[in-house]
Amino acid sequence: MIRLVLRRVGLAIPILVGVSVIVFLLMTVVPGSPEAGLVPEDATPEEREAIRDSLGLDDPLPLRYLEWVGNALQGDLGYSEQRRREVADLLGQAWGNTFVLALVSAIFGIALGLLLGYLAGTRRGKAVDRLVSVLSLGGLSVPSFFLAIILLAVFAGGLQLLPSGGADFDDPLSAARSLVLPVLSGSLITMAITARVTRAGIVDVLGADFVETLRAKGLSELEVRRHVLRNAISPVLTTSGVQIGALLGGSVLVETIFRWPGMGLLLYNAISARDLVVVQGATLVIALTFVVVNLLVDLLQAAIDPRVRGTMS
Amino acid sequence: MTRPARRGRLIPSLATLLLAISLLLSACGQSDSRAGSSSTSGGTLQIAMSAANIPFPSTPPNQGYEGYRFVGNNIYDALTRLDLDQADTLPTPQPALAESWEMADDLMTYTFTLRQGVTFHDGTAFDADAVVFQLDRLKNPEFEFYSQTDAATAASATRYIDSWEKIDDHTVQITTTQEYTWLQWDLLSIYFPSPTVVREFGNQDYNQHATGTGPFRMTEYVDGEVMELTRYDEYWRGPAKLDQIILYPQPEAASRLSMLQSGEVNWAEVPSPDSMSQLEADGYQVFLGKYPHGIMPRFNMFREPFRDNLALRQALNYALDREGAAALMNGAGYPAKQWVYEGHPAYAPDNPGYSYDPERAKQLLAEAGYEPGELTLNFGYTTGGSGNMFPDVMMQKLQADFRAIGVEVTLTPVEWTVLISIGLDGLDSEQWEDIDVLWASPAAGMLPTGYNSSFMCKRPGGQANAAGMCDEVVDEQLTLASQQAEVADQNAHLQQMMDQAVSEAYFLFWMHDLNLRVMSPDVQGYVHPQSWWVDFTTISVGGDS
Repeated sequence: MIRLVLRRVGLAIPILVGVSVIVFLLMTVVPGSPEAGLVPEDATPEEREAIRDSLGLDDPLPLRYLEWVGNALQGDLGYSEQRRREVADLLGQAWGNTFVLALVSAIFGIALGLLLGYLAGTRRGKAVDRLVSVLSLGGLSVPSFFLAIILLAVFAGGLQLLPSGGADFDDPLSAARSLVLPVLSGSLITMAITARVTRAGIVDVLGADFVETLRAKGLSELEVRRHVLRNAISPVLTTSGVQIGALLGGSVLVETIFRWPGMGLLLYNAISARDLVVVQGATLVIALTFVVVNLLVDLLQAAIDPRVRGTMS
Repeated sequence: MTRPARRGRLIPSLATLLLAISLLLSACGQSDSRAGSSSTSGGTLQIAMSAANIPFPSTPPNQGYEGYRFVGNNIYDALTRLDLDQADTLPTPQPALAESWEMADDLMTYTFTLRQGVTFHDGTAFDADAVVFQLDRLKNPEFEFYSQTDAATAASATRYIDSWEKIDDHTVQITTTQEYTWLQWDLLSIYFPSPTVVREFGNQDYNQHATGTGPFRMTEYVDGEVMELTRYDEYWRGPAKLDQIILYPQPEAASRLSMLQSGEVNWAEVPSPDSMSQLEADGYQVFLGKYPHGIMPRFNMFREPFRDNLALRQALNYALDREGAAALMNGAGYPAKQWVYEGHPAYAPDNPGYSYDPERAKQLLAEAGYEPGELTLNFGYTTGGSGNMFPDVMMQKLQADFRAIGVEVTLTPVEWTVLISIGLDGLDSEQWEDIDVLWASPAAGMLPTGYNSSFMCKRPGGQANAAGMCDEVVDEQLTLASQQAEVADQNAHLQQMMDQAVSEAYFLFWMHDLNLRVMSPDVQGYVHPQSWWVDFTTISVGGDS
């Protein structure tokens, strides 16, 4: 297990370097100047140059990248002139908010997906199965922003039952209320994918020989189902890892519509403003999050499934 | 740089459909629980801004004029201020931290008598040292607290300031770089922070401790989330009525509307125009009024087809069905005859501008040397951003209007930041030279100094006009206007400048904005001025004041 962790950490390094290089290069070729938000249209060439110089934009690209990497390795992700804040502060605040939203969305989406997938898989071909298929297909097809605006229009603007947005953590009740609509919007795809994968896994395992053997040995149906679920869970965990990673990366659309000050919104605003240091820092954190979440999922799979454990060792 | 054209009928947007759902439900479930009802005297005004973030409270703030409107003018004062408590005329500079000023006969030396008894929110006194301190921050790179970024952002306002000097504790002298009679306009946006606070926290950490002399002091600031402003009882004009102002950023119009309808805010910037009639029916206050803002795209005058081709520029101006575009936005804008609106001091009274006349447009197109179907224009426009009205629907309408006279338009959508970059680089730069017409959403005529970058052949810093517009008459009249002691003379020159620009059709004179804004019924005392800025001191929420 320790070897697995070390190997994954070793693999993470080229991934993080690759991501940061690609993002760095992309941000230098997209149109739009980083100083555009900092100077007026009638800025003189000298005024532009002074700002570009203070942002270090005229240094050679490799030097800029290496300087950024060197500082990042020492924990200094830079200072955003456009936000007038340390990038690490911005990321800490945004990641914390996204973590709360992602955690609740993941729990809700995966739990509901598991339940629906289980019901559909164990009742294959029946009405429940067909209903779950429709729901999961809908979940995959309906864009989260569309659902978000519908929910907003109905429950906030129309019925006035829930707040329209904001991360309000003043007390548990207001926190729960402010989470409802973003969680419903953000967890839809997670729910749909989990339900489909769970159903497919259960249908697959129910057809396996060992299930008949378990029944022949006289195990109760409940115990049989427990064995079935345990055998079917592995692919669910894998897809859940990807989903949790995506949720922790923040959803630009859901966070924008619900004014949720998380990673997606931070990254979107930074890209729009060509705030390079924030874009670099945010993508690094998101990539790191993916790596860590996938590692944790692998470890969890190993803990649950002896076959996976065997493969890893 | 050319991107695929988007063509098609003018179809209702998704937001419109959703708006219908929202309004239908809100009509059924109207609640009395509006935000901000307060038992205290002035109540709390909660605002959904269209900005993507809370403007940071620096001097100046960011987020364009929305930053000045909601944050800058509330936390800070300048030496002058606009008379925003009236809607009848274009607001002009009035005494503020400067009680009075005198301009010497050389039209370059200004002596300001500062208001006495004014204190910053930290209790320290405002005086001549505070003025010199801030001008050093913005203009003197040798100064310990010189702020590179504030200096760059404020450059338009400080451009003509050459030197500054404390005469005594309550008198300051400022000299301009040339004969210049608009300094009081520039000074509107040079805010004064507390030197004590800047010294204590430094430029980098100042924003979290922003301290001015304005009617509200900053009591909470969470970047990306919220800003809370609380009434400053020692304000020199007397305390504002409101107890607090709370600002939320929300760039999505549908979300701002939901915030208003759910009672989370009592002020929403620019909701969808489709919502106006229903909102009024539900008892909300919907404000529309003339103000200096329009959509006035610029022709690329660096090259063909527009350079030396007046007939073509006029043809396109005659081809625009402005009334039709106004109808598509439900009357939230109205047709432009000139760059500024009728009644504005710079409006050329004897120039009728361009009406909708497709036949005349076709005739001029032929005179310009183009057969129908021969010309395709690449039109760069922004898809969003605060203060851009409704670009998608407007551009689809323009595309249809131009096609009706035989001119095709390739739509090139760009982000707001890119549009600003194009303005900085110019349409003659290698990256942007393919663009024929460029979207522009100027604060048209809010400040006379604002004409410089759009009209002058050489911008004040010496750069060429971004669109390549170069007209001797325009340059001369604008320069003369800025060197007249009497306002009437200034306006006479501005009118001649405008007359020339309209006659030469240097812009697509398209739409004036009506500054759509909606508030809940309990907001009182609001004046909808002819300005991007607002006086918050007259406003209250609830029925007690």
